[in-house]
Amino acid sequence: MQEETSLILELDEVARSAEAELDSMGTLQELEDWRVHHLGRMGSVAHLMKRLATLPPQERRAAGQAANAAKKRLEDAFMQRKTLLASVALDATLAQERIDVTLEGHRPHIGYAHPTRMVLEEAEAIFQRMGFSVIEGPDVEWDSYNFQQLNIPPDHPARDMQDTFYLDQMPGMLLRTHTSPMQIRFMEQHRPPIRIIVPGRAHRRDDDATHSPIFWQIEGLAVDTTITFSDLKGVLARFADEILGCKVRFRPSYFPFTEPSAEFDFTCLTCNGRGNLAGQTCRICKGEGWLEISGAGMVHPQVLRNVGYDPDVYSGFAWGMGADRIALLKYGIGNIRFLWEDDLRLRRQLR
Amino acid sequence: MKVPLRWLYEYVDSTLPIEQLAERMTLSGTLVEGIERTGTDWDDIVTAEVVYLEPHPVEDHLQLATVNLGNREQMAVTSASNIVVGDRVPFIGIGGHLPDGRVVEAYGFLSDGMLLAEDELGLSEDHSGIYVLDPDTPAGRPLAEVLGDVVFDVDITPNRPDCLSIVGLAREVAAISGQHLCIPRVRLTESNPSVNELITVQINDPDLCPRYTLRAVTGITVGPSPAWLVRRLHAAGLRSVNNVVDISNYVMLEWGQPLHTFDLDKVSNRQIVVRRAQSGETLETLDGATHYLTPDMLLIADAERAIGLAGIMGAAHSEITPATSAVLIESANFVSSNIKRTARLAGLRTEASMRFEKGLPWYLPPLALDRAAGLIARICGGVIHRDSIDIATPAPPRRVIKLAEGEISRLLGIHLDQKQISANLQPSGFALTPEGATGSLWVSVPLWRDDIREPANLAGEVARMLGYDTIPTGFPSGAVAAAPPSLPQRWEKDIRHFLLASGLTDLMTYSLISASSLSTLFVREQLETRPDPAQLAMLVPNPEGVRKHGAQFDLLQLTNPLSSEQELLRPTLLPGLIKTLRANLQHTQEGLAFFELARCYYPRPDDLPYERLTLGITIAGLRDPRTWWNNPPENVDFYDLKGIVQELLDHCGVPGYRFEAAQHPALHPGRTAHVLTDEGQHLGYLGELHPTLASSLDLKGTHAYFLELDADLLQQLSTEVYQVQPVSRFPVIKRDIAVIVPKSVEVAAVETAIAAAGGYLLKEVRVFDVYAEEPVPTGYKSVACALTLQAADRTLSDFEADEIFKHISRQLLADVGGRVRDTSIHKN
Repeated sequence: MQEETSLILELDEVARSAEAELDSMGTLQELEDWRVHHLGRMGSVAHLMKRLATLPPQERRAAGQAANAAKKRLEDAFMQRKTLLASVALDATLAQERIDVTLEGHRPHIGYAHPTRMVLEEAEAIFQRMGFSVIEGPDVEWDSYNFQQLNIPPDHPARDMQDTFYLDQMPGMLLRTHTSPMQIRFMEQHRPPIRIIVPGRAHRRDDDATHSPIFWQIEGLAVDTTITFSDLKGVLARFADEILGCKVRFRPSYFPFTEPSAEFDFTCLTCNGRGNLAGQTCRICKGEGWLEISGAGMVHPQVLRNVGYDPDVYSGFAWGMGADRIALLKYGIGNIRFLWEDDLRLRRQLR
Repeated sequence: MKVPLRWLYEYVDSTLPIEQLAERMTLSGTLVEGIERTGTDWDDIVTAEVVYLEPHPVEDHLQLATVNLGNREQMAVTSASNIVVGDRVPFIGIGGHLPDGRVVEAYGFLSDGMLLAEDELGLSEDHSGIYVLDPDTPAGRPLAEVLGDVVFDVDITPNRPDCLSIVGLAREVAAISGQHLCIPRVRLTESNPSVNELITVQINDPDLCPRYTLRAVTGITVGPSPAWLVRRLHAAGLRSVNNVVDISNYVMLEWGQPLHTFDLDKVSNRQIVVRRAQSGETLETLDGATHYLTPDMLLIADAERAIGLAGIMGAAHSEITPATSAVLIESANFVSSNIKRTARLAGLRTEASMRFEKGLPWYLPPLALDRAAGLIARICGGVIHRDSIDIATPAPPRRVIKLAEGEISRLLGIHLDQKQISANLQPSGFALTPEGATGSLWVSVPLWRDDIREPANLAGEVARMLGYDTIPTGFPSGAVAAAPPSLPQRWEKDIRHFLLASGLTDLMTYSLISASSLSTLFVREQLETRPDPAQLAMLVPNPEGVRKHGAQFDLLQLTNPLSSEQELLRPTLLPGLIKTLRANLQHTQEGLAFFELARCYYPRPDDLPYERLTLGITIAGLRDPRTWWNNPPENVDFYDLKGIVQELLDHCGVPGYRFEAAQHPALHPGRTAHVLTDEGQHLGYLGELHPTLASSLDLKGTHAYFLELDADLLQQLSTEVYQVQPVSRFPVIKRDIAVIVPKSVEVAAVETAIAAAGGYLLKEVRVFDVYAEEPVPTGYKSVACALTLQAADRTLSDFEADEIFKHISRQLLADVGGRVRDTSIHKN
């Protein structure tokens, strides 16, 4: 009995002091030394457990249980301490690995899309959703398609508005002044119903802050038995709403190839249609509050006759809008030249 | 056109506020582009009558004026000498604010204020004297009430020459505002003898002159115009010349009918002939220019010589001078196309020709003629001779258009009954008659509306009178499915997005270039002239493709370029790319990576040019910006550009393309390649800009790289459908091989030899080192490649790999004289 009690007490004492030591094991190495010293094969617990064999059998059981409990207790404490020290060590390593997250990142190389191209692609998508097919045509045209068949005879006053580039190559060869020649080309080849848009370059002998000798137009044409001016208004208003969400204005105008004709204006987004910003004349709309975006109208009966359509049966609407103008408005660009100069300092701002 | 509202209001009342009037005009088709106000800053200025003038008691050059302000008299000191007692003048009291913001200060104890000149009123730059008002101006009224005006700047569409006049615009305002139009009838007091006794007129070419009217006024005094006339012309944008000329301009602005006044005494033989010019005939016009005339030009001539280019400008010798006492007033109608052609040939564009060109109505000349005669008699004195000469072709009938029932609705998409249609047309001068029970209307068109010719025009009139905002917003009925974008359209969009993702910025450059921008590209030739077709063919990608499309290598020259900078349609994108690169190099070395996917143009005999979609790329400067992780930064090189092309061609699925060393006029002879298809078709070129060209373009020492591809061909070669190959589940064997070859051997030849010997088990050859220094013998280089071997159906044994490597060694020796220096095995 005394043997037994003494062993249990000794075990308890060893366990207690070992536990007490544990808290001062500051590193994983010290902890490992501690493990060998107490829990190793030659350790203090093993040393006591060897004495179990010397106990009488009836005492051995209780002492064995106590020994195992003490060993388990120390092992648990060891694991706990080890986990703690490992996490402390990891924290130290991670602290070492700290980087300055405010440093500039490695940016991948990114190309910048062209503002006019973005407008063209968006416009194409919008009109496609409204049932318009996208077609293209030549930049170099014949006088006949560009003027004659669009009801603009050689001495017509409308040619005042169209200062045209001609080519030496052949008489009557010119750079199209609008995308409207494709109205004729398409109607010559197709029968109604027609719904097309024609994005493309147009050219005029004009060069200033608001006119570029080359610019982008999006032509539109719808011909059917029931097409009305009201439908034209609807299509263009929906386009304006989708592309910029802005207010629109239709006002009477004149084009030889449409009747009635309209000018289609967008409110200026920069000044919200007020014409000025903080007392300064708005640099986008030049104080107008509106920006001319598109000429439009009902296809002139003479144009329909020119392609062999009966104007008493068919009617149509058409427009020719300036994609560059929309880009100016959409991105707050004050000078149309910017669209043709590709200055990276400006292009980088549009991502 | 500038429209002073005081003038307009003589013919129509409008109670609308100015802004509303402008908006109503704009929304009915008369675009008001600007509103200019005079007199808004005249709050402290009043009218005054000069009642006494005396020399200033102290200063010799000054006068002391006593003026009556209606209820009191004031004194003002002035240096001007143009005023006399009785004149009405603008006066401002001490402490008053001038339009320029200055405050009037006392000039000595005698002065209560000052009299003002035009510049001080802000009317013009003129400071030659005090501004003298009309003699009937009441004293003591705010000046703004008497002189203030609003001037509209309106843009008149070319179909409405009738609106290039105050009367025409008054008609528009009357129609849109519902106000009464009031044009007083001109009553003339005529005297003997008849004009027919003073002059004879003969029209030789009535085909060019449908109507010619003439009046004579004699005993006139040519001199300065009265203040109101000068002011009106000035407000309308015209300069005052003398009273006779001013009146003819005034009537032109008022009625839209140009007039010509000339000196009766200078008409030889008192005979006027309207005839075509003779070949070789010359004419000196009022502006001093001499014109060489051709027989398709119409002249107003006397018995001896021309006295005017019909409808455009008078001759210098018959113009009105201070000595003129007898004036002839011509008011005629000329054929618009002829005036237009003559004006263009003569290089003269006048207020008169501008109106005649647009076509003026037949009925108008006598109205303007009488108005002018009346004004001349009133203002210049003299008597109007009895009768007017009026030689005219028969009056054209008033046009009548049948408007079928429902036609307006069919075009506008808004239902209107006859009454509504009538309510929108009648105010503009249309007369409507219903055709029995058919529902149709007969619409009689006003004489001044030659532009209204068919029902669609009437729909336009109704629509603009209704206001476009009144027409409901509809949508085309009937579903029409948009055709899917074409294959080339989809391809182009895909390529554009691919290139953007590759780090290239999308460009849009002008398709017009200068000839010199092409000549510059021929570095070795030092081309002074335009490149010839053979030279041009060397410049463009895939010249054979151009020929295949029936096109040639001539330059497409503009007949009328704006400048030599933009005189040709480009056959290559290179000049635009270079220009963009140069401009950006002025401010950066970073991000210089651009592409343009756009058309180039090649002429075809008897046809429109071949417009070929072309891809151009340029890169230059730094590969990455100088940053904390990239210091010092590296420049891009040939292989950066080549990598982009390889990636692009792989993206397009072009099989078996290859690169071959080549020459290009603008590129470095040792750093240029052609891109070829497996069948040897030329896709394009790439290379480094020739250093000589780079320095002559002042690229600041930057190496720049360019590429052009025939995008039409690339699109045709592109595969749209990809099918994946299964991935082998058996392990790969990776081995490196280093081979010593003569320096002149291209790496592609080494790769080809390895690939040929490696057979189907060789999956990849990647060159990872090219080395030509010690210990590699002089004249040789070492090419090190990493090879990947793999079978689809089994694990390859080392023995098989060894066999393959033996093959490869033999092949290298045989094909390129290569000796394998080393092989090593990678485990993975």
